Amino acid sequence: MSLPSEGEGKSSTGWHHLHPAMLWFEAGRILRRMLVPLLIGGFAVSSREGGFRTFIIVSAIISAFGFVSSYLSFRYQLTADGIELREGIFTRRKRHIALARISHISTHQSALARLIGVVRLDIATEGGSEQEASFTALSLSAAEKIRQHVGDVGSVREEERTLYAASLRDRVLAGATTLQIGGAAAMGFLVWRYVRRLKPDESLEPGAPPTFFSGATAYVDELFAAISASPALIVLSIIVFLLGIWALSIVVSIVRWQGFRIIEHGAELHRQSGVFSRSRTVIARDRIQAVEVHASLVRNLLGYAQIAIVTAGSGGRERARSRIFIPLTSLDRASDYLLALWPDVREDVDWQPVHAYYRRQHINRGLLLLLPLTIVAYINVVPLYAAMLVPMSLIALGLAWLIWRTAAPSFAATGFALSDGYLHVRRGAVSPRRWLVATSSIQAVILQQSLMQRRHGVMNVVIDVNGLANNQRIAIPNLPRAQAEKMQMELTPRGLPVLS
Amino acid sequence: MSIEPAAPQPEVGAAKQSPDASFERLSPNVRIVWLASRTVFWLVVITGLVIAREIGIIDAQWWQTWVFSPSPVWLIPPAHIALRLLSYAGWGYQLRQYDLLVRRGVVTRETIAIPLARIQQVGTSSSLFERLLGLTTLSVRTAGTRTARTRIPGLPSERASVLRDALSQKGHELAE
Repeated sequence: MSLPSEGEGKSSTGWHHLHPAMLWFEAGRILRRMLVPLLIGGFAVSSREGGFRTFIIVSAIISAFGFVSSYLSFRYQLTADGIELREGIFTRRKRHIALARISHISTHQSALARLIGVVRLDIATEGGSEQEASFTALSLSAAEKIRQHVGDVGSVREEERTLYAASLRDRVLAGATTLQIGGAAAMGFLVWRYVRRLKPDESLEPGAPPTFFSGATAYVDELFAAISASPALIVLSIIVFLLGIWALSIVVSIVRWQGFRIIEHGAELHRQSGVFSRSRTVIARDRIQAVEVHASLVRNLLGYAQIAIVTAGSGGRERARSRIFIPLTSLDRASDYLLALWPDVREDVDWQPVHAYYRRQHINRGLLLLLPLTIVAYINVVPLYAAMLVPMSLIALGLAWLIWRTAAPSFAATGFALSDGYLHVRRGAVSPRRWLVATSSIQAVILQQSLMQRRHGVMNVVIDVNGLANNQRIAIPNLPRAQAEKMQMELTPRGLPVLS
Repeated sequence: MSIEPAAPQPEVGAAKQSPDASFERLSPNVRIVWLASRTVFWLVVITGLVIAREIGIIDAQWWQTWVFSPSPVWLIPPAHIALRLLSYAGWGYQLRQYDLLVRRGVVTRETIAIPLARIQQVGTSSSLFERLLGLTTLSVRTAGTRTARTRIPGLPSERASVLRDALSQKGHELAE
């Protein structure tokens, strides 16, 4: 509101376009987004090259039309009480975002953007499940103008205090304890399938010189033949593969969390991150709906956890990564960060246990996970060497024992508490997760009951708040039915409480 | 920031003790709508697949083995239709003093409690099949993630309009 409000309330600065560099970023973004559909389309549409090429050309034309027209039609104007946007060529859309509704703005600058001297600016409002407006490319001065206009968000020079800064040790540990094996294996498999698909006899005349692909195919075939000749080599190559992924995830983590810090800035928290891409997000404390402390299996063994937050206005498609508040902290320090987020939260709450059916469910689920392993080992869906049967059986037995042993501690560590306007939920001991929800932000309560749970008269109480990511679920598992219904009554407010 | 858990709970009548008894069911005709719309869906899919095969877009052997000759895959459409029809038994709703309960699911049952004060938008809509049978779908939006849009299908049209107006008005009163 630093904008001088000369004349009437509206139209103060005239209409502005985005920076032309926006065209590059949009092209890049669309290309990235279409990579997977293109690959899948490439497999599905045809094995003949002509079909694939047509598919790519048509998609490229359609998307180029999309981003050129969006550049030409997108305009914005700062008005005394907000920001006005115009977009669309065939269907014109005019929007006005009131300053009062804006919950936070964030800026993001990729390495390329830094070279050009532009920045991306996103505006989020409360109630939306996505970004309210995204300015793909703005010159630095234009971005600063919007920031100043939106208000004191991000430009007030209050006293700053760094709450958390990711040290090298944290970054290495965060990477070393991230399991990205599944994704890497899937990628490897896809690439291999793709290379195998382009067999020399399909795309080349007989006797033609080998191309890159036919050479690669032959090399991959030879390599696989050599490795599959000996079980020891198979084991060795799996180990090398896993170590490679592990090293990669450490490197990725070191780069990703470079310069990551949480800065306390009056009533707000600023999250700053990035080495190649720099971004700074402003989080208003009163927009935080819930906090999640999660320790994966490995992190839990080492005594570390990660803290993520759910804020109003974020959600849906926004990546889970962008919600991370503290990438890695020791478990003892986690409560310090919770207090920094919500100073009035109490730690010494009266935890209530869940129903003992939890133990049985834990064992059932664990055994269900073992099923595929058992099928692979004994029915020989995948041809295995007889020598592999013994280690596979041992692994299965070991896991079954672990599941059995962890049932009781997991049950003991699961519970909930309702205290001073916060709902506390914790579950699991192997990979413990803890949720803290401001009860005033609960939007709905869902009681869920599976077939097995119905037999035992228990229910899950699922809490719905604004801004949850697709993989986030706040639930108190296995409460006796009467207690679950009572919780539902207690947690659904009769009037709209005001978040102070 | 508190929800006054100590305050006496509102009187919600018999519903609180035995919610199952007072749940209202959907119109039985909704099953005809479901049957018709899922059948149309599968007819479109099957026609698309046959055309795709005829013009040679899909020519791999496994399509021939698994999709175009009798195989377990053929069970998917009838199972998909049957599951929808079976789900009728699970559906129910109940408007209480301070919230709307929506119950659904057959294998996994869920009961959603949407506080009336949290309702952002209520709407009604009818598809072609629904209109032919005089039915309407009521959709309730909240700012939540999972309950962003909760639908109650198969309501008689007058009942849906009454509910829509009641929800909108009560929500408005409670939010003030």
